[in-house]
This record gives sequence, C-alpha cells and structure tokens, in this order.
Amino acid sequence: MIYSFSRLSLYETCPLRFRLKYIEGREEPVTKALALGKAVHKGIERVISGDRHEEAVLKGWAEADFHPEVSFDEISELVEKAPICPHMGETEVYFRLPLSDSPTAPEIQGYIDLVSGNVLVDWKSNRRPYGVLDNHQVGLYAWAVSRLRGVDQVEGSLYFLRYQKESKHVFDSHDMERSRQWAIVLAEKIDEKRLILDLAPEKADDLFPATPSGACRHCPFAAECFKKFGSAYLPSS
Amino acid sequence: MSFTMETTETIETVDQAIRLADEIERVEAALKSMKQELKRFVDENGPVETRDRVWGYVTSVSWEFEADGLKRMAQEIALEGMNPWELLTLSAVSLKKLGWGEDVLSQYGRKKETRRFASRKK
Repeated sequence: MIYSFSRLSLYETCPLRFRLKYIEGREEPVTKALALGKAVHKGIERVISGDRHEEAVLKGWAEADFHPEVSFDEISELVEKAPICPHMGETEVYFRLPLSDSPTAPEIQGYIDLVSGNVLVDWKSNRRPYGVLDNHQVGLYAWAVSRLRGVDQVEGSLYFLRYQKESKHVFDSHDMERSRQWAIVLAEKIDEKRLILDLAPEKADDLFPATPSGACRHCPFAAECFKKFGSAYLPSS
Repeated sequence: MSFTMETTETIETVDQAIRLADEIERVEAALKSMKQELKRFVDENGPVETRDRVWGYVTSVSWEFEADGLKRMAQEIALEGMNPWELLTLSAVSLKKLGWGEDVLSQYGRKKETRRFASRKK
C-alpha cells in the first residue's frame, strides 16, 4: 500500500474506517464537501494554467461530476477568492517518496496544490479554519518539496478560501523530520497489522478497532459500526 | 432491526466519561443514519405506522415579514389597542447584524442565558 496524508490521518482517527475504506475497498458516498473541494481545486488549477474564470469553474464543476448539491456560483465564488494569477507556479505537483532510506520503507504520495520555488500552498474550502501546524499535512508536503527541490527550508501554507485567511509556517529540517516521523511510525504500524491480517483475517476487529469520536458524525459506516460494536464504553462488571 | 443495549453503569472516572462521550457520538451518528434510511423509505412509500407511532413529515408553519409589512402590522396592532413592542421582538440574528456590544444592549433590555447540554468542537 502506498500511503498518503489522508490515509494515515484516517487510520489515526479510526482504524476500522481505514480498514473498510482502504483494505476492504468499501465505497464512501461523495459528500457535498468532498465534491466542492474537488471542483474548487480544479477551478483554481485551471485559472493558474491560464483558463478564463468561467471556463475554469466549468471544468471544476465537471471534475465533481456536476454533484447535485454543488452549484456553479458556489465554485465560482471560492475560486475568485484564491489569491492567484496565471502561471504563478506549478499546480497539482505529484510526489511519491519512500519514508526512509531502508529498502523496505513504506512509501508516501500526494498532490501539492501549488508549488512556487520553495513555497507551497494547499487550498482549503473548509468552513472551519485551523492552523498549519495543527496536523502534519503541510509538514509532510514541505518534506516532499525539500526532497524534490533539494532545499533546507520550505514555506508551507493552508489558504482558507471562504475567509481568505492564510495559516503559514516556514518549515525547517526539524519540523519536516517531525512530520516524517509521524508518518513512518503510523505507516509501519499499519504495514505490520496488514501482514497479521493476511495471516489471521479473524483478528480484523482487534487489529483495526472502531474508535468512536466526533468524527463518527461524518462516517458513512456509523450505523453498521454501532450494530457491531455498540456499548463498548460500558465499564466491565 | 433490533439492538441489545446493556444496562449503563454509573460513570465514576474521567476515562469512563470520555468513553461514554465518544460512544454518544457513535450512537448519534448511527441514529442519524438510521433516520435517513427511514426517511428514504417514507419518501418513496409514504408514512410508516408502527404499533404506537407514525413516522412521516410534519409541516411547521412560520411567517416572514418585510420591513414595510412589519411597520404596517405594528400600526394595526396599536389601532387594536395593544402595545406592538410587547409582541415584536428582535431575533438573535437581528441583534448580531446590529453588532452592538452587551454594554449597549444592557441599556435596553435584560440578558437571558440558557444552558444547553451539548458537545462542541475544541
């Protein structure tokens, strides 16, 4: 398995949902938030590539398969809020890197929304802004940019389009190493569990347990999970 | 579809309380998902009658008044001998639009606080 920030983050949030989605290949419905994010990212990418605004928004909308809950106007408004201009940098920069020099090291991949020199930006269509250091996404992307470009410092930012608010940090080697460590520890743990799972499929629920939290609100498997594991909080008699 | 729930024991430690809070999140998410499933059935087949309840849509009525209509209503209320200001009130949304601080608002009215038990994002 090739990992990504979102995969590792999902495992950290709930190993069961990770297993259902990425190991068992269970489909998750495309929510409005997901579709909007996809559309807006495409729209911004197209504007930077030189398309006119309307054309870019239309391509974004098409990218989200014209999701019924997403409108042209909503995409347009968010794309308009991005501080962009044509040809300002490379968009959708793909990376796939081993997390260490070991021949058996797990690999991580990702798409970085915008890279210009040693500066990277990740667009967010979220309603709730947070800090660039609140999770390891930008730290990992910064590490990838440092590896790809051979630079020691990378300026990484999250740009919250709705509020035109940016959370920025200059990642040094120490910051990037912290994010890489987070990723490799989780990836190796998952690799190990997947190995055991292959040998003992009946241990699936012990290896990848349900971990209830506020994230259950957005989990499409919540009802199924409750039926199977509900009342786990009860203190043992 | 039936669920077996064990009897809840008294929560005595912080750890047990955290586990209970997390379990509530799962139960509420499951409940929401089950209601969506039932709603989908009702949308296609009409209300569902259980032994003692009917699951379906309940229509709630509310009114929206434009500024001019509200002004004419206030006049009509006064003509009927009532004080319109005892009936008309400013909603929380309107107060937010005003943007007045509590120090200003306290000159005109009393602050009411209600406590609601819920979870919120950190």
